[in-house]
Amino acid sequence: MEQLGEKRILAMRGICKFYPGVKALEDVDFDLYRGEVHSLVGKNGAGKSTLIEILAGSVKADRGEMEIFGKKFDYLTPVESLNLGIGTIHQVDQLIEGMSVAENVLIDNLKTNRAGFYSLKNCIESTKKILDFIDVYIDPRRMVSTLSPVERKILCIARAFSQEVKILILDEPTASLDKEVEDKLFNVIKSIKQKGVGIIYISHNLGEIFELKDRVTVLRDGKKISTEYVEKIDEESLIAGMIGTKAKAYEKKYKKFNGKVKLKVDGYSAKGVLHDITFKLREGEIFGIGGLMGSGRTELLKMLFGAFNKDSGRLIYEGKDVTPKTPINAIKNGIGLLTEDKKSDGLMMEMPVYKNISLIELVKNGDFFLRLKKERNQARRMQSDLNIAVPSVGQIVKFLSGGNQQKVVLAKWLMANSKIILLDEPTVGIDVGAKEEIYNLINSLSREGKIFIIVSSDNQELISISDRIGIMKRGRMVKILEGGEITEENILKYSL
Amino acid sequence: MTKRTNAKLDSEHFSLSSIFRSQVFFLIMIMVVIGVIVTLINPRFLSVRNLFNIVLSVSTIGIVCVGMGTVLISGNFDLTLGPMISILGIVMALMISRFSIGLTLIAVVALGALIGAFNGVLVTRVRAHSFIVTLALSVVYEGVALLLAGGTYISLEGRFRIFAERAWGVIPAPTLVFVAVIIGAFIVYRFTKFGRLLFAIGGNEKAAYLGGVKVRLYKVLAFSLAGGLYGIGAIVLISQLGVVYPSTGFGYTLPALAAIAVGGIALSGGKGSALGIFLGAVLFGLISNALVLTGVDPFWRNVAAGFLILFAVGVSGIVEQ
Repeated sequence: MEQLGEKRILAMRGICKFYPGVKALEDVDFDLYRGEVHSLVGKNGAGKSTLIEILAGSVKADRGEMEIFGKKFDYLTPVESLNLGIGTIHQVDQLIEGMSVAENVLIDNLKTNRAGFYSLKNCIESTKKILDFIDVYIDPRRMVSTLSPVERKILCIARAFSQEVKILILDEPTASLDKEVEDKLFNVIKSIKQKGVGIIYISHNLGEIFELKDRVTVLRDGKKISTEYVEKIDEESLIAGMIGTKAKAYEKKYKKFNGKVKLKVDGYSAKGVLHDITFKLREGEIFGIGGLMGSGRTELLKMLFGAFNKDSGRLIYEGKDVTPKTPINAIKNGIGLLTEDKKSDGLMMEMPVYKNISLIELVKNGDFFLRLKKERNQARRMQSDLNIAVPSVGQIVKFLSGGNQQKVVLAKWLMANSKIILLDEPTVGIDVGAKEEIYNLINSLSREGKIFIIVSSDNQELISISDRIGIMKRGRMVKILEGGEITEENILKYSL
Repeated sequence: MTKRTNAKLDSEHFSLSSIFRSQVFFLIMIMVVIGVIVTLINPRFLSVRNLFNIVLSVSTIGIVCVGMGTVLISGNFDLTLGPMISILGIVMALMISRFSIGLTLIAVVALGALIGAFNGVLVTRVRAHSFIVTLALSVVYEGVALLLAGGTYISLEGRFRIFAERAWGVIPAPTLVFVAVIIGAFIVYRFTKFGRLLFAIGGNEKAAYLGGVKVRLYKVLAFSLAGGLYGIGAIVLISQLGVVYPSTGFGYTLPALAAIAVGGIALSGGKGSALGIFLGAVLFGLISNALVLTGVDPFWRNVAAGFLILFAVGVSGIVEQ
C-alpha cells in the first residue's frame, strides 16, 4: 500500500454518526485511491448510506475527520462536496422524463450560443463530448422516456460528469437492471476507472464486486469489519462478515412430488401478452418462474390474481374453479399477490405496521366497527411468527428495512388466510440475511400447505427456493425445469 | 433484562418525540402563543363569551371542513363545497315556507348526500384529476345556485332561527353541531372500517385495490358523506343569517381547504385526524378574532391572516420533518 500513498485521494478516519438510539457509524475508517473501485457491502442498516451521505455533504459526522485530495475537513456541505469533484449516483434516478438526453446531462449547465440564447446544438455537442469521455454512445437527442433502464443509469453517470468528477459514488446501480445488460454499465465503470476516477461502489450483489475488483470494505451494525483486496477473499467470507456468522450454503434436495395435484393453471392467454400458459402444482410444491424482464412473468401473476385482463384461462384449486375476475374475487378465493414494487402498490408507507397487516382481513370481515385491540394483537402475533424486527406494531412502515417491509406484506396476506400466494421478485433490494429468512418462511409455509408461485430475476434465488421452474420467453412458457435439470445454465439457455 | 429496559426506553422516547412533532401539539402551541400575546394587549380576549365567539365564527366552516377533509383523506379534492352550500341553503329557504321544518332539514341533507354521490361517481369515472373535475362542477353549481334563486336573495322570513341562539344563553347552537360533527368524525376515522378504508385508499390506492377494497364505492361514499355535511353546514349557516344569497356559500371553498391543510390533513391523502380539522378551523377563527381585538386596521387583517396561515403551515412542515 505504501507505494500507492501519493495516489490516495480520500481518507476518512474514525467517523462516527449517532442518531437517537442508533449508532449509525462507529469509528469507521475508509479510503480510496485514484483509479480504483472500492466496494462497500453490508446488510441494510449497516451504515453504508450514512457513510456516503457524509461524503455527499447531506449528513454531518459527529466525530472523525476526512482528508480529501490532501485537504482536511471535519465535514462537508453539499456544495463543497460537489466542488471537490464528488459525484453521487443514487439508487433511484432523478431524470426529467419529458426532456432529451442532452438537456438532462447539462441540466444545471445548459449551453448558450454567442447571442446568449439557449442553444440545443451546443448542448448536444457538449453532451457528445461527455458521452465520449465515459465511452458510450447514446443519441443526445433522444427523449429520456425512451431509454432502457441501463441507459438511464449510464445517463445518470454522464450527468455527474458534466462537471469534473474525481470520486464517483454508485449506490446499487444494478438494482433495477436485468442481468444481461449489466455488462454495459460495467464497461462504463471500467472505462471511468481507467481515467483515474476513484469509485465507491455499493451493491447487494456480491458477484458484481468480484467482477469490478480492487478492494471491498464490509460494514456491519455501523462498524467496519474488514477491508480486503477482492482477489484475496471469497464470497463466503464476505457474507460471513456481513451477517456475522458463517453462512450455511443452501443445500438443495430435490424431492419427488407424488401427491395430489393441488393447483392447475390452465390455458392463460391474452392477446400480445401471454400465450396458453399451462402448468400444475402438486401438494407442497413451490413453483418458480424465470425468464427475462418483459417475458410476461409479472403479467401472468397479475392475471392469476384478476388484476390484468385476460382472453382465456382457468385456475383450478383442489378440483374447483377459482378463476378470479377481479382482485376482490381473488381474495375471496384465497389468492394473494405480493407485487414487485412494495412502495407503489404493496404498502401504505405512511401508516403503521398493524394497519397494513390487517387491511385485507378487514375488507373480508363484515364488521362495521374496528376491533382495535384484536387487530393489534393479531398484528403482534404475525410480528413474532414472521420475526418482523420493529419496536412496536405501531411503527410507521416507511421506517422499516426492505426485508421487514416484505414481511409485513406477507403478513397481510397470511392474515387474510391466503392459500395461494403469488410472489413477484420477493427479495429485490433486500439484504442477504433477510433474504435467507424470507426463504425459510416460504419453505415452512409451503410445508403447512400454502401454495407458492414465485417470479424472480435472481436465478440463484429461483434455484434455491423452487421445486420446479417454468421459464418464460415472449409470453410463452417455453420449458419447465425439474430435478437435475435445474441449473443456472439451463435457466439462462431457455430464457434467451 | 437490560435489553428489555432499553427497548422500553426507546419506545417511550419514540412516542414522546412523536407528540412534540405532531401537528396537533404544534397547533395548540401556536394558539397558546397567540392567546397570550393578545391577552396582554386586550384582556377581553380571555372572556368566556369571546372564546365562544371564536368557535362560533368557525362553526359553519368547521362542519363543512369535516366533509371536505373526509374526501381529502380518501385521496381526492372536493372544490364543490362553496356552491353546494349555496344550492342547499337556497333549497332550504325555498322549502321551509311550504313544508314542515323536519321534512325540509331531512331533504336538504339528503339532497346534499345525493349531489355528493353524483360528484363522486363523476370523479371515479372521468379520467381526470378530482381537482379539475370538482372545479368544473363547482362552476356548474354556481350557475345552478343563481338559477334556483333567480339571481336574488331569499329570506327565511323569521322561520327557523334556532342556530342564531345560544344554549343556556352561553353556548352558541352552531357550536354544538360543530362539536358533534367533530366527535362523529373522530369515531368514524378511528373506530369504523369505513374510516379506516378511506385512509387506506388515500395512503396507497393501488395497494388498497389489490387488497380487495372497493375503491370506487368508498370514494363515492366519501363524497356523499361530504355532501350531507355541506347540507348540515348550509342549514346552520342560513338559519343564523336568516337569508340566503346565491353567492352566500361561494367564498367557503378555499378557506375550508386552507383550514384543513393547517389542521394536518395531507393534501395527498391518507393522513389526518378529526382533532386536527377542529384545531385548524378554530385557529382560523382565533387569528381573525385576535386581529380584531388588537385593533389591526381592517384592510390589513387579510394580509396578516394570510401570512399567519402561511407561517402555521410552513413551520408545521418543518416540525414534521
